[in-house]
Amino acid sequence: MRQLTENNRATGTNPVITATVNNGFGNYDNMTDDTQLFISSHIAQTPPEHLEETLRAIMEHPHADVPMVDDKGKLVVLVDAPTSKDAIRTIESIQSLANVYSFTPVYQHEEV
Amino acid sequence: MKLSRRDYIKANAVAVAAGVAGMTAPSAASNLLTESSKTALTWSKAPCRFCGTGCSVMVGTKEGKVVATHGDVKAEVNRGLNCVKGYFLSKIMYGKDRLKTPLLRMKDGKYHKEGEFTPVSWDVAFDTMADKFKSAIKAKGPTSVGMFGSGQWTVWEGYAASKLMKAGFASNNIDPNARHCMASAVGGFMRTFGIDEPMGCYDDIEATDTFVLWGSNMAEMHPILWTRVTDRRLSAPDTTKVAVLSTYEHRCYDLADIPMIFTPQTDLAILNFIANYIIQNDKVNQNFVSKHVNFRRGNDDIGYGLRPEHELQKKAKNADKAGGSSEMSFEEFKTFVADYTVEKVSKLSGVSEKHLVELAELYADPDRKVVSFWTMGVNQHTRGVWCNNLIYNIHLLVGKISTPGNSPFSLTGQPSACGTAREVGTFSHRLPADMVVKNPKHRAIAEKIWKIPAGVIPPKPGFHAVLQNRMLKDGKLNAYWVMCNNNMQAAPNLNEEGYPGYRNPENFIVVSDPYPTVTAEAADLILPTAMWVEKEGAYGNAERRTQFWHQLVEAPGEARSDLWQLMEFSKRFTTDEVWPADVLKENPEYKGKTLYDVLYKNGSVDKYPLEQTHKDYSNQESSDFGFYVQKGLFEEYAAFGRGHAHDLAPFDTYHKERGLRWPVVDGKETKWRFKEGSDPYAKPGSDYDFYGKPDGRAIIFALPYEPAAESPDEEYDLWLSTGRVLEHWHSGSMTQRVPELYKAFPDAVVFMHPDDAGKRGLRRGQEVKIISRRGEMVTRVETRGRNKPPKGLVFVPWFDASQLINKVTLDATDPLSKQTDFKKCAVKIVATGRA
Repeated sequence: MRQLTENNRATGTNPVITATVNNGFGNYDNMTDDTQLFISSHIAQTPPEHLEETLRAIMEHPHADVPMVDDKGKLVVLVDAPTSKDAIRTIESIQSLANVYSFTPVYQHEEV
Repeated sequence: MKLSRRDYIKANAVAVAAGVAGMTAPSAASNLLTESSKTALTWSKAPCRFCGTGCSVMVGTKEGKVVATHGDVKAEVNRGLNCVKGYFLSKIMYGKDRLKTPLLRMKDGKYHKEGEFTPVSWDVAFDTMADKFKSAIKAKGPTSVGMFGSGQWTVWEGYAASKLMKAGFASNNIDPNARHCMASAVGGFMRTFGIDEPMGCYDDIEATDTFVLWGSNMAEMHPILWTRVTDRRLSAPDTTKVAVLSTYEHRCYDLADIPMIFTPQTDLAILNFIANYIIQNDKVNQNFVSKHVNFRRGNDDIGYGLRPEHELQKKAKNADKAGGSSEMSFEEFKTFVADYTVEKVSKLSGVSEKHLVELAELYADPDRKVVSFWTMGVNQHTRGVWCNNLIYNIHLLVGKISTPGNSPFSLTGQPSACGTAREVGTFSHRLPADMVVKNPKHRAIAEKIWKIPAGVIPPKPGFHAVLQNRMLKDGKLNAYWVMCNNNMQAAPNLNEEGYPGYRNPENFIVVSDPYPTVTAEAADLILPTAMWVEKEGAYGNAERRTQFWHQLVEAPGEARSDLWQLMEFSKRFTTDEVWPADVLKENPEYKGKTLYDVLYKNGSVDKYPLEQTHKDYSNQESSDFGFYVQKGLFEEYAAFGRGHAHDLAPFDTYHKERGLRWPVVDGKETKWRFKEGSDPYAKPGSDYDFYGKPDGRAIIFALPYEPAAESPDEEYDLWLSTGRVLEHWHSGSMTQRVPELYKAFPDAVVFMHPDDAGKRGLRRGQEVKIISRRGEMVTRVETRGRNKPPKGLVFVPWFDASQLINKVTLDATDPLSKQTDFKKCAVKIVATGRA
């Protein structure tokens, strides 16, 4: 598999590539209120040839992380946003990215 | 290393998604220990609250509240996936306007039909309601009371309701909203096979190489099944094919190898063409047909289920014998369908000859397996039963049925349309396990299991859904209870046939709902209801899978489950007040007993002690009544089907399993019915055994193309089709209260062809009126997006309570199934003059 982004250090072997989850969590140090939780995970599907550019595009979202990908074009996307609105905006933006063929929600957790 | 609670939740979120995606979760994420007080969520399984797919979800609760959900990776149905509605399940119970106390229309301190909704106690609510029910029965008999229920009722709620109406009030005027949804499918199954529900299961998806969609937008309405179809199609691109038929282009067309748009109602002709093609090309499976099939000619010209004084009804030759049929031979059937040539059907339907032949060849090719999926396009049809029959015709002609990958598969729209509405028999003509009220033997069986005297259950079918609204308007149905549905927003022709009956001064209308819906606001008494995991429940999905869940949280305020409401209300009636006097005279031991005593404290329902409820979960109803209510009701109900090809497993089994597909015999579920080897009820040596029919043979019906009840003309120049969108479920009373779903699709629109808009001087986003002969509705034009109607047809979703498209729709029904055709009526569209 190819070089991934800094946040997704490859540790696995083909066909499944994993990255350490904890690296991604560092993005959220600014979130101090631990009682407010808007956490969700999703699976994005992109053609394998567009995997890297899609990964970069998702990672440009401040509340999104991609802790895992595989070479078939599947990406696990983690969204941890400060508000419900930020979460929705992030999800909608990723859904509408070119080459994101499907974006399936999996896990949803909200505590206010 | 320790993680914070936030990190732990994120690690879980990633691990679950990774599992669903088939990736290996990094151990650092899934195995780290942390302080239990920080991370403690209690996780339990529950089937999703929405469509008939029957996905299982894991529900995370914390401090009495549902805070998280994710797809259940152990569930065969969805394998960890969720659709967007299922994904937001945790939020459906927490709308700000949740009802928490009974509300009665009052003026000057007492009930008044024109009063304001005022909070009252359950005692006042039930006393007022009982008084109205008793007055109606005393004045006009048991046909003056009725109930409109739901395919979203839990199994035991539907069962308790059916008992209360049929065995308690001696009235068959109970019908579920599944009448709007699945009644044609039921009629089709009963007519062709003599037994209800699909012979196949979802395993057919991975076993087949052909999918044909007849009037089903699975991509939006059954998204998880569509994901499985897509996976199958993309993983075997050289061999699998997808054909999609609809009256407008929708998201399923993205995957279609053979995309077809047909003129409304001509599906009947297309289906007959396929039968003709199979016969003409010598592709009939003669061995199968000669051993397992009979041929019959159905009565034609059967009317449109309108009021008897309507011109179309008066003109119909067989309006009063719509279900009639006569024997015919294969040769006669061959002659009958010979009229449906490719040239003629192409011209009629607008589908190219090339595509029609390609479609027919999918069925005819002996080397190809076929799954046909259908939903509301086929069922919400004035010839819906016929359409179902005609789909079975083509599967039976080629013998592609009851084996893996060969499956005519009717999908359901509600989570327990099968489990509750159909299997329990909450229809106005039915009893449990496919039995019917008009059959004296069936009534006798029900009366025996229910331990009530002979003669309580009336032999005449009650008022079906559309007829209930007509009878309310006409003042013949006077005390009426609506539970677990939003029929004022759903039922057709609101202006003329819906609203007048609810506000008829002669009538008292009760609506049980968690939220103030359009229906609740039209009522006289609103009862606050517990929903989903606020109660212990059971649903039965589209593939005969029965699934259970525990009560996971308490309902807010004084909200109580429908089950509690039904049973508690029954305490206010004695048999002397509601049962026929001659029955009581012959059975004096029943005199003076309450309906609660004879229906629920009858030695069967109260057989299982409270101690048998699960110690880790609450059970509000059982605690209140003092016995394991759900278990008692389920086991009594299961007695109807065990040994009769509807076998259910023991109650406790379902709390451990991710559902089982009935019949469950000797602990084993049944994936394919009617096939020797896979169905324990198929007789040895039969190969196939359609045992719902006395001679074990299914029926191929000769049924013609007949036009729709209403078609576009010069003034009303467009077809109107209504339906749903991915983000909202049915009338939107739950999904519109989830901010994310609301925002994703906030308001209904009218999807129309850009040329149709241009011709009328309309632009995208403009406000317009949709007008029919019955009413009008204001919305905005959408010429782009997910649905692309052809010229001459518009599509409007019905989820939006602020845009009631059922003011426009026509109350024409299938005369056989009594199901409304929500897909076809004639409208015109004009600008409102506002922006």
